[in-house]
This record gives sequence, structure tokens and C-alpha cells, in this order.
Amino acid sequence: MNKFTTTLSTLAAAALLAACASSPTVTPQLEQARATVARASGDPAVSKYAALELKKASDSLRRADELSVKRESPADIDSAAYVATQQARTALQIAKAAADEDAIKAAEAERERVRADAATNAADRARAQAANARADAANANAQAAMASADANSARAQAAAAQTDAANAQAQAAALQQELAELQARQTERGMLVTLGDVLFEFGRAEIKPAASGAITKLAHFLSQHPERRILIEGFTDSVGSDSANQLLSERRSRAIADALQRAGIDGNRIDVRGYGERYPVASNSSTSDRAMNRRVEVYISDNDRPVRARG
Amino acid sequence: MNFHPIHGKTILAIAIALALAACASPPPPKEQLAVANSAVDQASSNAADAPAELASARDKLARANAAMAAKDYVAARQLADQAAADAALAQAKARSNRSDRALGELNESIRQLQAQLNRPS
Repeated sequence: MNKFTTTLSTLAAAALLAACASSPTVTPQLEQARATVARASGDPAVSKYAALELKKASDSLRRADELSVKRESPADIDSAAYVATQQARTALQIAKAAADEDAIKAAEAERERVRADAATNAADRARAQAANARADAANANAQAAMASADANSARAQAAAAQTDAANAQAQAAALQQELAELQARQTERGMLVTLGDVLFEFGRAEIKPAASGAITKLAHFLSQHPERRILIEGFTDSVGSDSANQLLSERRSRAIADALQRAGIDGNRIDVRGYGERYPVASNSSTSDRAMNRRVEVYISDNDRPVRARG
Repeated sequence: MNFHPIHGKTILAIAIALALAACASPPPPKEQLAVANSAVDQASSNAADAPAELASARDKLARANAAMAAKDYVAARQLADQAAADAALAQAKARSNRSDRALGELNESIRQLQAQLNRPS
């Protein structure tokens, strides 16, 4: 019995030695499994996100290795190796997905930040546009105010011009009225006002009170038109001596000039002449014609120049 | 070489034991098949993005069931384990495809936003 046991033990030991001595069965599938599991183990994302799947793959690979060491059938080894390979791939895919999902979270935060920036930008733009619009409106208001001021000033000028025109018209009308009252008529030397014989005492140079109206009107006109000058010319009829008539005509002219000066007219504006019986306006053959020749003519200048003398 | 009856009996007993051991086939891999079934079910619902892996998993599950029916329990277990591994890979790959696409789209939308942002209005 002992001998038999010994024999068996020896056989068993020999068998074990034989098993140990022989190399393990390594299939291409097993090699692929080892490579894939090694790749998964070396991937930091796998140890971070897919540690459980990596452990399953490692366990499956260890089983395949055990089968390989035991020299089990290649089909058995391959099956375990295939499972290990797929599990390692699964670990890699899960790690990639999880890393992507983390990146998605970061990207979503980034997108929100960019959107917020865009919103801020849009708000800034809108604010800037509003400010521009306000500035434009202010400019427009200012321009409108300026235009309005211009219009007002133009209206004022127009009104002033109208007033001036009205004044000028009124002055012209007043002048016409005054001259009409003096029965003035236009001549080439100026406005002519004729003061008739009836305003003087016969043969004398004193002015009758009846002449004061005409003198007053003339003085008024001259005070209204201070630039104008006058020439007073005296005339007689042919009755009497030439020298007497000359003297009388001068005195009568002088008398009118004195009256005007008493009425406030500056003597420097007045020129005086006497022409005696020269320059008759009628025939001297009848009483009424001679009356027409006895006269004083007052010429009013059309401007500030002295009235041109006769001859 | 002497033949001893005792030795003969002993050898016979050992031979019977060895034969029994060899004949003793593994138990039916019900648990593995259940795991594979559930994995393939899950993958069917969410791993359309990984059609090759999903098809492989279904094929192996079918073959595992066939082996089970043929009482080839060793093959049934191996195929069930492989089917489960394929189904798990199909799901992982589908998830990774989805996240990859989503990340790409997100980055593209950020790029467009930034382009909009940098465009002089």
C-alpha cells in the first residue's frame, strides 16, 4: 500500500512538473485582450470614470490567463479573452463618454457666459443707440430752436421793414399833404410855394396877419425836413421905378425869411433874392395880371443842396 | 509487473471516479443567461447608436439560448458571457457617441455665439 501511494505521489508530482514545465497556451485573442486591458489601465480617464468596468475587464483577463496557464482549450481561453477585451473597450468608451459629459457641463457654462456677454453687448449697443438718438434729438431740437429764432428774427425784420415802409409811406403822405396845403408844385429847381400879393400891405413889406397860416405851415414843413434848404425870391409889377421895385422885392423876401426865422428855422438854410419887376408871370396890362406879378416865390430844395438861383 | 487484486480494485475505483468527474457536465448557466438577456434588452432600448455591437450581442444571445436548448452548457455560458459583454459595450459606445455629438454641437453653438459677439454690429 505504502509503495503504491509512493508511486502515485511520484506520478502526481511528475504530472505537476510536466504541467509547470510546459508553456501556457496563448492565443491571438488573449494577446488582444491583454493589450486592450493594458490600454484601459493606462488611461487616466478610465481609472477616474470607469474603475468598476476596468476591474471587471481585469478579472476576466485573469480568468483567461488562468485558463491559458492550465492549457485549457483555445475556445475556452478565447471566450474569456473576448469578454475581457469587450469589457476593457466598454471601460474606455464609458471613460470617454464621462469625460465628454464633464466637457459638456463646462461648455454649457461657457455658452451661458458667452450668451451673457452677448446680452451685455446687445444692451450696451442699445444704450449707445439710445444715447445717439437722444443726442440726435437734442441736436434736432437745438437746430429747430435756432431755426425758430431765425424765423422770429426774420419776422421781426420783416415787421420792422414793414413799419419802416409804413413810416416812409406815412412820411411821404404827410409831405404830400403839407405841400398840398401850401399849394406847392414841383419845378426843376425844387418845390415851389408862391405867396401872393394879398399877404402884404400895399407898397410895403409887412406881412399881413392872414399870411401867418402859410408861414406857419412852411415853417412846420421845414422843421420836419431839416435837411432841406429854401430860396426866397421877391417880385413886383411894373408900376413904379425899377429901383423902388428892386428894393421892395428884396424887403418882402427878407420879411418872409425873418418870419421863418422867428418860427425857429435856421437862417443858414435860407437864401434871399429880390428881382424887382423882372420875371413877370403875367402881362402887367390889367389889374389882375399885375396882382399875379406881385408875389414872393419860395423854392424848397429836393435835397440838402442850396436851391439853384435864376439865370 | 505483478497484478494484485487490491491494486486492480483501487485502479478501478480511481478510473470510475475520473470517469464520473469527466462526465459531470457544468450546471445550466441560467444566471448568466438572465444577465445576458437583461443586458441585451437594455442595449436594445438605448444602444441603437452602436448597431454592430448590438447585433453581435443579439446573435450571441440567440446562440447561447440554442446551446442551452442543446444542453451544451459550456458553450451556453461562454456565449451568454460574451453577449452580456457585447451588450455592455454597445451601451457604452452609444453613450459615448451621444456625448460626443452633444459636445460637438455645443462647441459649434458657442463658436457661432462668439462669432456673433465679435461681429461688428
